[in-house]
Amino acid sequence: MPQVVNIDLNQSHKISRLISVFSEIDMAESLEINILHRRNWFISVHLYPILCSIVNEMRANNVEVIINFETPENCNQLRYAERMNFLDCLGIEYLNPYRRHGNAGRFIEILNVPPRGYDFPIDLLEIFTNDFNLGEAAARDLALIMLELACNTTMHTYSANGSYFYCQKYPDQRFLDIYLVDSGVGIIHTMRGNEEFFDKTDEELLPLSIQFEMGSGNGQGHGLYFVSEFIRRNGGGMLLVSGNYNLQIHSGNLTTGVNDRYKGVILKMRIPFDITVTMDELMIEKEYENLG
Amino acid sequence: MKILDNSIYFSNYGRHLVSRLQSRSIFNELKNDLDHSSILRLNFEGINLVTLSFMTELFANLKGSNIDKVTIENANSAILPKINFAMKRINSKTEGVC
Repeated sequence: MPQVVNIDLNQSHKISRLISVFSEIDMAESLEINILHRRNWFISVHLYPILCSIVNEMRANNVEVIINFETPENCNQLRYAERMNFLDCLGIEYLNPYRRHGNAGRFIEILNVPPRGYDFPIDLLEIFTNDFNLGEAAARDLALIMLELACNTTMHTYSANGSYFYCQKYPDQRFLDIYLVDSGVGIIHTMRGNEEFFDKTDEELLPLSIQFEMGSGNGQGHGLYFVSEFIRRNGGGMLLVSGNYNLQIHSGNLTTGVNDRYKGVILKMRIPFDITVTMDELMIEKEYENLG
Repeated sequence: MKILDNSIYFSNYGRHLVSRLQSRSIFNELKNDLDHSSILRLNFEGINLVTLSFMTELFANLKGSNIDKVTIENANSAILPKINFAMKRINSKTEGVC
């Protein structure tokens, strides 16, 4: 008998609630997911990359995942979900398929970043510059951030399916929400590859992962540091979940928290359009700091 | 030609230099053709974006192969700071100067 979980898309699931649902799941055993929604009720989009990652990681490991999802015709919420590539990512046929033409608009569809890849699947710099109309500095730094994070996923997740990326633009509020989710081995496991950390607890390791040149040893420890510092210094927000712990950046402050176990990494970033501190400036600051 | 006169032309690998894996692959492809006695020229013409991950992997591999004389060529103002930062960080962890 497969394991069974119920996901209600319409309850504004906090990420923590979705994590709780899957925290008891054995990802090596077959799974049946009942996805519920009330037609045309709002769907929290952050659910999509997380579900896509979990389902496809299991399938990539030859574990059967059955999804039961009522897909009525003419449902605006599902049309939107289909536009975001959510249904296709889960292998669900929709009665009214919708295909976007081009990337111009307010979001970048959910896409898979393959494991062991050399580059991001799409040209983020071009999209951020031309389609999202961000300023040059912001577009360049945002593209750089995502490429550094994608590099992390190819190197450290040991995921069979890679990671899932999704980006939503909020032009009135002038920020982007970006998600990068994987169901690999998680940050704690990766950090434990560094012998220097053998005496650290799991709770101590997650905050260490974003400190300058504190990494697994299979890298230099720059990526997460500069990403988190860029977000913090530009007044953005970040939620990093891995294992039983999470880090949050909000209003320039870093806090830690505890959650039900998530096997891989969930990274949600909220980044303003208007950048006041660039990546180059952060690097210059770090150089002077190290000289002193 | 990917290497000529002890110069690596990164434009042969795309406009973006992203992953540590790609950097490692390029180094492994070219390492046997590098002249250790001459200055190695890293040519970034046509390159739009580089990550710190790519560059630190490259410089670490070059240092590990005792290639310690390197010049940077045709890097635009957007990518040069990243290249310089990566070079300095790798140098700070090893002896010798690029």
